[in-house]
Amino acid sequence: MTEPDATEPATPVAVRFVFAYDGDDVRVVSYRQVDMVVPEIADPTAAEPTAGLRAELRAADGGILDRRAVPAVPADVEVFSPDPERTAQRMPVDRPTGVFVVLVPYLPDADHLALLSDASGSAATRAVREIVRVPLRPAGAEGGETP
Amino acid sequence: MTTADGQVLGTTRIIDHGSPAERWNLVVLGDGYRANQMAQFAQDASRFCATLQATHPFDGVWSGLNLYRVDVTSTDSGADDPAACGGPGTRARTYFDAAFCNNGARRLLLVNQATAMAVADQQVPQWHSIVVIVNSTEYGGSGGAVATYSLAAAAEQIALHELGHSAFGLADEYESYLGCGVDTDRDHHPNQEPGEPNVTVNTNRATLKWRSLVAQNTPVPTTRNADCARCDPQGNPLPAGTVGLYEGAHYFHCGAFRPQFDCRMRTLNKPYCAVCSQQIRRVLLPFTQVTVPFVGEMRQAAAHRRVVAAGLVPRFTGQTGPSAWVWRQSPTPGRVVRYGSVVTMQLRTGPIP
Repeated sequence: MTEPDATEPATPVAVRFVFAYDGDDVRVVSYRQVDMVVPEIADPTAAEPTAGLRAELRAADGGILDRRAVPAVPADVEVFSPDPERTAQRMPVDRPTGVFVVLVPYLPDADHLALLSDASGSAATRAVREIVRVPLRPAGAEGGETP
Repeated sequence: MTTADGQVLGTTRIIDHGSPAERWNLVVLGDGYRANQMAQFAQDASRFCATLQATHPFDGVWSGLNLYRVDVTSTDSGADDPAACGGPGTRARTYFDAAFCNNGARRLLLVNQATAMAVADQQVPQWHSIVVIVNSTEYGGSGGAVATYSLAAAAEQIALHELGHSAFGLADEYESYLGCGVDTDRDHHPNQEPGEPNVTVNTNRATLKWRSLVAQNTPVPTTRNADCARCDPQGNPLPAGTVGLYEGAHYFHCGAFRPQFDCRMRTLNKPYCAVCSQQIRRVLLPFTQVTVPFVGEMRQAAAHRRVVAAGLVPRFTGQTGPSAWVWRQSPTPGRVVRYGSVVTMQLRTGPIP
């Protein structure tokens, strides 16, 4: 009735990038390869990228190997109240600072990771700006601190 | 005030569902706990763990999670609580530099998120999310890349809300920015569809992104705000839990809609709505494990239904058709595999012997 078990796919390997922002300045702090599953947070059936911040893992010829939304660099903070009827509000900050993470699958053909800002507007007219580009080390090399 | 004000003692996997390479890994850090308060931190971390496990939908995907407690000592207990925001002016030397009164808001409790990430990186390289518990009974917390909350009553709800943002890509569903009655420029949401799954500007039932959860007899839109200059004061006209299209969301009084009247992404002490729950489940299910069902000698259609119901992907080989039945299957029944794994079924046609 049964045959020997099929081999399960190997655990995907991921690359975690840590970025820091200070005002409009965004820089990569570090990246490293990690043996972990990358969650699919965005709807995989969505055909078009939505406006906002996103990361693209690209091949040397510029071809997009992976694309995923990144939490926007906030211009405000969320403040909570113990009052159960009024639990949260936003508060603008003069100069936002902080860190965020981009987790992508490890792909041997990846040449660099680009962080893009996709401004609001119709799909035909909206402007896409590359904020930062992180060159990746050759396949097989470990990640680590970058300039 | 810095990492010189304490040390990392080590890590305990307090919920262990298997290899971190295959699970969704949550790291719980503590700040403002002195060396002689590590037992208390262990209790506080376990309490958060129990809260998370009891929170729908995490209860249904619990087998996909690992939780780690990283013991970190601080020189002082508590957190900075400046007098400028009405606090007692406490200064606490802590490893992650926890402080209230950020941006002038007493309740905005922040830690050094880069340090938290560095510790998590070192202790649990496969981390997906980080929560920091601050050893203070003053109410406070914050979000961003690292969720932070204090030991005040119900403050842990902040962490659940913030995980909704950082780990699952959910939007805020509340309809104000600075607060209801305060905002003067939040009348109408821009006519652009937000990327998050739990807010929308679309009022078309046929294309609504959570249409599969809306009953046919539920009106769409479900509520309208009669005065876009302010937050909608009306109560819920439908039974609690009804999924529809409720106006007022994503920091605007009108033009943006939320799926249920209330949700943890709108009000901290409410459960996640059905749409947010669905999103959390969708993200976490691939980390869970399921048992391969027995489908031997079942007709193809029935075997297909059973495999799909188990959270697995059916694949058939051999002769298909109404009389096809499963002759062999792989993996074997009873084997535990990752959610979404393929079950290959070899078919024969004709009467089942």
